Amino acid sequence: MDIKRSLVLLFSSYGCFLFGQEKTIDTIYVFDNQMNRVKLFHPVKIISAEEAEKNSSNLSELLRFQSQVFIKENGRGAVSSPSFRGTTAQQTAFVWNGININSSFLGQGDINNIALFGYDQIGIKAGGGSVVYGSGAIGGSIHLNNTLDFNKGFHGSLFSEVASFNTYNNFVKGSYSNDKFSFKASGNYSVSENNYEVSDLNYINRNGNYYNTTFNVGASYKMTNDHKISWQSQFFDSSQHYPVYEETGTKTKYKTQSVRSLLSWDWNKAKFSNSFRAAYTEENFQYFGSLNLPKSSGGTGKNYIFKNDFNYFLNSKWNFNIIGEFQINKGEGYASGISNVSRNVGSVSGLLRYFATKNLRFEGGFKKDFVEDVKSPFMYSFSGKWSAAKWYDVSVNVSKNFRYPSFNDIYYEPGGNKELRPETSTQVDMTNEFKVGDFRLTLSPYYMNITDLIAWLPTAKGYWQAFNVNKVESYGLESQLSFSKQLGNHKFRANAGYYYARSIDKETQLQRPYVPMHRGSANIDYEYSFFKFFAQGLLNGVTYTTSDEKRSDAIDPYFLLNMGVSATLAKKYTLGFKVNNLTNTYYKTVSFYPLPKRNYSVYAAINF
Amino acid sequence: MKITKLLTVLFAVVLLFNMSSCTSDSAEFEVSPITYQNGYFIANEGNFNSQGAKVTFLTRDLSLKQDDVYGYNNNKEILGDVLQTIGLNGNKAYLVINNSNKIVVVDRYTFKKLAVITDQIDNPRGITFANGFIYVANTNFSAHTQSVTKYKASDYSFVSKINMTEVSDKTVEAGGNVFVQNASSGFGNKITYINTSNDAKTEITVPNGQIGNTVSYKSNVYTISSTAADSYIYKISSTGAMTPVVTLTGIPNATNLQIDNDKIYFSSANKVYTTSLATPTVPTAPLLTAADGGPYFTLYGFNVIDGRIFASDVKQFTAESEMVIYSATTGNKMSSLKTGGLGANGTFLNP
Repeated sequence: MDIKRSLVLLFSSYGCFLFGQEKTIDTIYVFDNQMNRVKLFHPVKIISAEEAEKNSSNLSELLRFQSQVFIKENGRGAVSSPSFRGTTAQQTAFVWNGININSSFLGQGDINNIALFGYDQIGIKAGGGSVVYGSGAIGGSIHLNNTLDFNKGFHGSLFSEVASFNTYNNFVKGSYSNDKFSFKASGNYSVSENNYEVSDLNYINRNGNYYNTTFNVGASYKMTNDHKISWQSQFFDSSQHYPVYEETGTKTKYKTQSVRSLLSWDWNKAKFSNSFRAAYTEENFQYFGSLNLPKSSGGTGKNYIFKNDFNYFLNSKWNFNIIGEFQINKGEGYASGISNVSRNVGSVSGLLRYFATKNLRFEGGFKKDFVEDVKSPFMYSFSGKWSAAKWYDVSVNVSKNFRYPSFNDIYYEPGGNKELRPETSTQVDMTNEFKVGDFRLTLSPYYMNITDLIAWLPTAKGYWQAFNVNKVESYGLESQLSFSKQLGNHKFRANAGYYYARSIDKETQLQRPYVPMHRGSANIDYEYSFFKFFAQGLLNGVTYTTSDEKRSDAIDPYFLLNMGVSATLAKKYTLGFKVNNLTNTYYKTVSFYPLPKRNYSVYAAINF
Repeated sequence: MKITKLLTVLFAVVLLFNMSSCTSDSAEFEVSPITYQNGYFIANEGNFNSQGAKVTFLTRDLSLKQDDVYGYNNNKEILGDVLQTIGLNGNKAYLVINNSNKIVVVDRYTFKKLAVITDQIDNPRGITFANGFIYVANTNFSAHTQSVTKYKASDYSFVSKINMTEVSDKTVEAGGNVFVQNASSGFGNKITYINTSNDAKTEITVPNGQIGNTVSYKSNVYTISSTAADSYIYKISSTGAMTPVVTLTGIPNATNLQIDNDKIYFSSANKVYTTSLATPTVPTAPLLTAADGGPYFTLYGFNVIDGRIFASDVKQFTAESEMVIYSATTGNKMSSLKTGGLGANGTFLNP
């Protein structure tokens, strides 16, 4: 009873402001079974599939407007990388249903080659999480989650959008569930000519066209009341052309195909739960340095993952969790410097949770990896959360996190360095949450000390080699003020955020490039019976692009505004209209790669 | 609207900003000179796949400089992606933009754009001039194709394409003939001699080592090659006959060959050496040791002109480069300046 109470508590204290019903764990299966426990100590922002439709172009746009992550995009739809709390792209972990999917070659997630549609929820978690989510979870992690409902019968939905620059986004989903069995499948196709014009620079985004296709399928079967077997797969295929600045520029393109499959056997009883999972992830990529010729370079990465997560409640106050994992990572390159490499990784993590009272809880965790060719550090985390008063919650987290050197870092010929140590980070962060009436204020200061940052440096032999070089200090504040009110049929939600991020290279004592010091965001949602309106604002401060803080090379501050309206009839049929970059602002997130000026989209959706 | 106006004002303010100092250690900013005659052009490559190519002008007495002379004189136009080298011929300067696949031709006194050559240009790396023609060396590493394309200097019209079998990089002229270095980034050991009377080509292989750099001096071509133990300098006459100049025993991986005032200069890691051209010997000690800004990128740009050594430190392409100027006779540092762009790879005399 007390156990269930602590778990229900998490939904009421972390329930995002969803207008829908809140579900208890009996009738919803979440593939990432650790997510519920993580939410007990860390705030996780959940973006629903419906909210994702506001920024439907690609995942970069969604993260830029609906999260505190800074997205660096080399032109719309092209190469894109995240920066969470001022950290590097390899220090953000992309987690698909509990499985880390950062590229084993690059060590980072290639954002525009990660599907936007097809997930039931996207979770944004700031701060370290290596004990649970592994390599790369230093600045934060982005969770792409599928869920399966039971006892819901048939449901289907269709989303079709036509937007500027010959952009078309289409998504279809169908599901069926009874009390024992649940099945869901979805497909998405997005394509765009992407030839936007930016008159301020006399620029046309030539050779920027892209398409991507995703197919997701998941099923879950309750063998008995306590045993459940579930499966989730994702197939992804994309082609991106990289934009050239002028007509004579060298035109290149990049193709990638990935497969992810997860099979999970869950055994749940009152005192314990055990989840055994087997997963397979594969990434294939081909780079074409010349459009009319066969690929210039490429690679295939295959990962076989076996994980067992055992969670046991000694009594209503003490809970321990042991996770054992074994992974085989394989990589094969084509003209990329890597021939055939394989790496075995074993790891064990343990977490101990103490629910002192219903207002005070603690967690301590450790993780140790055993990796071939890499000396892996001992990771730990300590968290405490205290609901001090009805209007004040505070939590503190201290952790040590890491990121493996990627295949390119270790095995690339020439330049790979088998002596590389993982990057490690020690961090402390705090979340203060104040609730007064319909207002909620969250203040999260953080501090990270990152050592052994892996950088590729040129050597006397004429090629570049990976070294553990830099020391970086990242600290700052994430703050958010939210307001939510319902008066009869009027529903109103607003929130505003301010993010201060300093990321200092300890040797130069200067701000690292592409880390804007000041950023702000604001969102408004208004709903009245069948009508909905939203607005998103983003303010980005001066962003240096060089390591010497040279202002004349920096990207100037900019303000962006998106707005949309929609009407839903019979709770099934929706017609919507969006305007992005309403103020027609000239802006870019990477030097020389402007992003689109004002653009529009019209969409229709059916939900049944 | 407002932002571009602000930029124009900012630009003007930057140029008027006067940073005077008592020592001669830093160049001063001033209102732009009327012409760019009698000075040096510094080529900043810019990062790959970014439009960061920029040219900075420095007066011959090293007292004044102006950043981004192309942008300043061409309506803030962006030059392009990777400025590989600058060729000077007649009253024109030819800016070889490698990843934009074009050669921008400007008036070398006003730096105003005159023309753009794009016909048959495919990742150009070298340029030279002979008998009223322009010869451009192209190497497309992705497609594995390389060529030398020829244009009329009078109207820039395409004349012919000579297919090459090897990487085609730096190109020089000697005695009216064209020599293309078939080596890039320290790998390759051939030089192709093109007889401009009939555009016939002959491949010349250096006997030892991999070629670092090739220059033309007083109608002869000189090249430096090296191994991890020793280095070698060879001379090739204007009709393609090769003779050894000196074997630099004990000096590994030498590159950056330059000849000025009948003296040979070259570098190995961050050490700069010199010896006489007429009676060369193996130098026992370096003339100077440059600041070690990283194992390979130190001395990324290295030129010896007017008895001065122009050595650039590119700060690993993360910030604007610093050009340090040394005396070529004593090796003492004379002055230094920020080059106004990333990856300063060369200094060119504009007389």
